[in-house]
Amino acid sequence: MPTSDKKPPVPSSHITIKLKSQDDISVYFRIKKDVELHKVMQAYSDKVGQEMSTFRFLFDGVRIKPNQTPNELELEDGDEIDAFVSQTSGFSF
Amino acid sequence: MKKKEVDVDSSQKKEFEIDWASAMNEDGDGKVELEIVSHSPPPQTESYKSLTDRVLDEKIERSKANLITLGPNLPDNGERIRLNLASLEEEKLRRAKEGAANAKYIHSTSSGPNVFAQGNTASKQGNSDSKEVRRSTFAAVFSKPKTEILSPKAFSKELEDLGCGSRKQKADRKTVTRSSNEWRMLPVIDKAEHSEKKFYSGVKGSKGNQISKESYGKRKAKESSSYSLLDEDDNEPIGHETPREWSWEEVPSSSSRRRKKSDGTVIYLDEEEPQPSTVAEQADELPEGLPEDICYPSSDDPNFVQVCLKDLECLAPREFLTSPVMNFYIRFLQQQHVSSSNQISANCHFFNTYFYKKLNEAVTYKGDDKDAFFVKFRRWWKGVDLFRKAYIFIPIHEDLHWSLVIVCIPDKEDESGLTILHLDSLGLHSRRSIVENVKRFLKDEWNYLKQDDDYSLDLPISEKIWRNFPRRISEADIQVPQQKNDFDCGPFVLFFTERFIEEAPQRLKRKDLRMFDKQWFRPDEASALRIKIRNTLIDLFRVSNQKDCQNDQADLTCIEAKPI
Repeated sequence: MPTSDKKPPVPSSHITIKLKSQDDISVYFRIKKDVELHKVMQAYSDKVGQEMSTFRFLFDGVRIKPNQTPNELELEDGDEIDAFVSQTSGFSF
Repeated sequence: MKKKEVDVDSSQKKEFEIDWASAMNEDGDGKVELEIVSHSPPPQTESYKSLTDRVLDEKIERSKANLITLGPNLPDNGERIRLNLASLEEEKLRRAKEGAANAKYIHSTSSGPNVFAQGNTASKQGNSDSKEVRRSTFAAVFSKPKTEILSPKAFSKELEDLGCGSRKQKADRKTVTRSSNEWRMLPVIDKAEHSEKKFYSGVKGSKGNQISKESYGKRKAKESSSYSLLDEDDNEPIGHETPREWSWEEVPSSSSRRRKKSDGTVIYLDEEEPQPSTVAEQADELPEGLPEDICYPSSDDPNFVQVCLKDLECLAPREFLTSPVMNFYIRFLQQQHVSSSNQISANCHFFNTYFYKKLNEAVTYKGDDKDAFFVKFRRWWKGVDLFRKAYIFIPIHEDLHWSLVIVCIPDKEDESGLTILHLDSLGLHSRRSIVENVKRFLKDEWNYLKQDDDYSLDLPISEKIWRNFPRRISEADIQVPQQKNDFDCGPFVLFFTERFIEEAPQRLKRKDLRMFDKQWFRPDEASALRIKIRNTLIDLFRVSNQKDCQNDQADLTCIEAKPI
């Protein structure tokens, strides 16, 4: 884990969370616990150059609503949020 | 002259229809298939050519009525009527198609571009004004001739087809929908079934590209001859038809590049006919003013799923189902059975479509903190005791394909161990690696749980199995119905789930595995699920809209009440 040691200790009002896509593009965010998570989602989407609607953000398999905060979700420092891209089907013969 | 043409054509048509009949059935084995082949519709189709549109419509209506009233009591469950109806509707579609060419011609030469432009810009604004504009210009032009000319359906169908020319013209098609009421009033599901059947026929029939091309050409010839009985003049510009169709084929697939590639040259020649109705359906069913998205069952539900309006696009025929829709329907099935008396679903756990990726990650994780990693992963089923369930459903998404794993956990009396079922409608996924991963996942979970000695005390699994758990997981070699195309794996996975919940016993025993075989259901039953899901979703969108309105009103009354 490259992040934990080089950072100053996280104040208790903040946590560091990791947003991770399925192709392993991980982005770490430090966020205040009472800030709505859509800020993180938007920042992540900008970072990877995609529309926010491309992703389904899940924490422990549960869909995150944009207006939820880390407090509501009981996110802890170091928690990981999955950014899933919509899956599509259909195989070409 | 005409007679000759028809004769030549009939032989050709027969060839095509036989393909169609066999395509409707699974692999051509089993009793049902034989029956259908014997009832094969070609002669009927031929005779329908000479019918007027009105008689054709009447026949369709009658067949539908018969199917509903008589169908269930017939020895073949009304299969014959259904076939009959299918060929009638095929004829209808064929005529619609033909008509479309004429309409196109009229447009491009006379009022065409302006009308379209108007319709499009108006539809983009999406307000009620636009509806009227469209109606007055676009529909008015055609609704008159429609009623005056002997063949009442001819123009409406042309319009329908016209709408298919481009996705942007959806709005125009909506107008069409209203003016051609009889055709539109047909039960949606029926249409879907037929068009799906024809899709299969398309796939089958196009095994040899040449054959399909040939039949295409011949059909063209016949169309002109039969149609000219009704309307010689309108039939003139038939030469424009071919280029139009080619371009038309290109447009719908542009929404998914992958499919465009895959369609290539093989499928579309034979599939030209069903598509107009089904694509038009889309316009028919998307009412205006629906909210952008909905949360199901509600946004307060911890396990809600969100579906956007644009997710509905993937439910159109030949589109690939996407995860929002897959997850919605999985959730919907759960919810349905919670409210019904079905006990089984209470005993099921359904993972969402993303789960398998995480599972894969977890079981292949090589780090030192593997245990910690697994503990974290366990939060995906927080509060659920998987081994107390009878069935665990895991949708698999890999390589652009959907399949389904069902883990069956036996009851305490059964010593046969856990069974992993892999249901794949194409046999495309590597069963071995998927089963292996699921096994490892189950073992990891067992490893975690057995640390707690008390855990297994009241477990509904035999003690013997629990003790030797890793060796008591086996894979069942089962066969399931196979899709006949490249786009229906999503509906198949959902239909597997639905049918399994309906039919599975409380706990699966070895002997119950007999329920799975290639004839478990007909492929078109799974395909028809698209329409069902679509309608379900539209209803939910509507309801959600109404709720929103009510909320708005509630807010208003509050504001008004405050000053006092």
